[in-house]
Amino acid sequence: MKKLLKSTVCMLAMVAAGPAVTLADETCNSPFTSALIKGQEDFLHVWTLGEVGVGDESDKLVTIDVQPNSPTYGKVVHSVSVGGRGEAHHTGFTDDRRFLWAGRLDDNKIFVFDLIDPSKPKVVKTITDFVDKTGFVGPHTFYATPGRMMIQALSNKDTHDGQTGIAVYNNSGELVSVHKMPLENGGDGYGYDIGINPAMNVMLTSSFTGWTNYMMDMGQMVKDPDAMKKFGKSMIMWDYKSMKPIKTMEVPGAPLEIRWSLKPEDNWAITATALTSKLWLVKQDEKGEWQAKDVGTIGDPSKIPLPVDISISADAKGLWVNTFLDGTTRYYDLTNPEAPKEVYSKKMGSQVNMVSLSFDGKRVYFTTSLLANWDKKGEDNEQWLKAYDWDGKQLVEKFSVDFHAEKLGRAHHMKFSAKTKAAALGE
Amino acid sequence: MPLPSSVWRFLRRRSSRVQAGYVALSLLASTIPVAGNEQSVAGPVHPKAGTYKLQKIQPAPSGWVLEDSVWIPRRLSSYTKDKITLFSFFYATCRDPEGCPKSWDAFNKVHEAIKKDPRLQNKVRLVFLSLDPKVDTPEMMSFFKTSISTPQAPWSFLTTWNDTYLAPILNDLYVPASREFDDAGKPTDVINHLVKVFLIDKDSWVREIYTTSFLNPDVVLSDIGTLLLEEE
Repeated sequence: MKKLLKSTVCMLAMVAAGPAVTLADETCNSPFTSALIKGQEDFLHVWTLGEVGVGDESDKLVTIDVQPNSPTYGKVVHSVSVGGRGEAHHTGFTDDRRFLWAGRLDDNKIFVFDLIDPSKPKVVKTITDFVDKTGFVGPHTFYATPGRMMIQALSNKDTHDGQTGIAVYNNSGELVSVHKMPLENGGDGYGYDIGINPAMNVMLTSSFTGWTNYMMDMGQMVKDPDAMKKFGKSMIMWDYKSMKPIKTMEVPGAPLEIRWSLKPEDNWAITATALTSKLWLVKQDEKGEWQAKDVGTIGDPSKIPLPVDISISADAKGLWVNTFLDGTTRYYDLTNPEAPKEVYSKKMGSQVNMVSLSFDGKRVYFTTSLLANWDKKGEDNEQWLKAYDWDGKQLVEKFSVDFHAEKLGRAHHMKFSAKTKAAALGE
Repeated sequence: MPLPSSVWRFLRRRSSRVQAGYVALSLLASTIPVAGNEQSVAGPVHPKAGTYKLQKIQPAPSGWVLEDSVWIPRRLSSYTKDKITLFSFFYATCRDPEGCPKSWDAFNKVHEAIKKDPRLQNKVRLVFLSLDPKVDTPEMMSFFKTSISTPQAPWSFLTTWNDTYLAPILNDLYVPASREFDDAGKPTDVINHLVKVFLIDKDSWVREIYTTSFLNPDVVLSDIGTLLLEEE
């Protein structure tokens, strides 16, 4: 399998075709991910949860043609089922962008897809011993570092609560190191997302909840006071090189996705808290010390709109924020990150979760599924991908794919890819 | 990087394409500063050598390479053991300012530091492996070595017979590299590649990997110091 994984040199990373990688690609990936797609993406890959009574009921990676000049624009061109339903959730490219790692939060399997032909991803490796090797449960964030994949877990095998950590694998899928989330100096041990700022040699992590909660029916969970106490309320700033915590910052209400400003001169990151519906800014103060600051609300926090995914523009002047329960996307003017201002909102449907912005800021993609047991029920359980153009003032729908009508399942995490024309050395 | 007179004499006998490429590469290497956003990596935000651990990421690659003769194959492993090794890929006609010239610049600074610091001498080697075996012949590689390498700070320039021998090494290190084609579909002399620099310990384990956007010689030297302290 290792040979399969390494079978040929990557054709995807046409690095020298333009300037080398800047601070990030498509605004939300690891800054170490190569082959930035600055123009039009060709394919969108959707990591999709299998759903009882829908198609083959299996988790799958769905590939959609998003090239407007293509005869199959807006259509599903490929789907590869991986077998079973294990709570498919997030994905991440390796640093060379050849492989896409995709995790499942329940059975903890990790699938490695080869995208040498981005129109037809194929599974080349499955990691099945994540729990045995690391002690962690719920491989959530897949974050490339040079030659490695950093995986932030959500839980652990002993208590299934939020005590967890980070596992580092090499690109061949072998475990390199394990790092527990800190419990000292205010740390609560929870984990969720990772954001590295290499120029500052810092890594920021956020915190969510453990397996018991994220696998529970949402309606049942919100009525359980004990369950609702078991959410993270911290963000940790680490020394990235040494993987040692520098400072724990109190950020109540489960801070989720982390987005660093991509401008080299900036020294701040932003996040949204799911339960308290706030935007928080993490920034160095005049003394160079990292501070977390509540900089605004999202919707009406008293109605718990449940902010989930966020996507920052390449110029760090705008931020898309999706709120799951009211099915609404919001666009914030981030010109002053200390005071984000909502300038646009749109009701997307009964529920909306993930948002992906193209690097040029012109196209925005949305999907619906949060977690299998947290998605809405009955007719409100809409499952789709919707693609829009964004002209700075409004979203204009270009196409949508109904994941139920197409017998696919619950649409979750998205990644872009592009065709290439060069030939790898040795082929 | 100043171009040694011996290399000039050598290049006069080569094609104009090779001459132009190497001159461009030399000029770029001598003028391009370390990227702006890397300046803040070292210093107060970067931990001191020996205060952190560099993990064993993967074994160094194996394979057959050439150094000074097309008739004498050498094991790549002989260049990645018993000393700390800084390893990367290059090709002499590389003209992408974000590519090889940045590696050259970083390698030069590390090389100068090794030459000046007795604690590093004879303990660290630098290795460049060519991505373009058709142009970068053993003859050319040996001229580079003769012009730049010193006994206390060895810098080896390696090549291979052809791409068939090169590809497995690239695969082992997850370095994508491909030859660009022109509009007529003919291969050009441009090789697109992801610049990665590998720090390898004396037991042939890759301990750190640097990409071009975050390649800072001060950080490399700190990591070398960490490995040396580990040996002690």
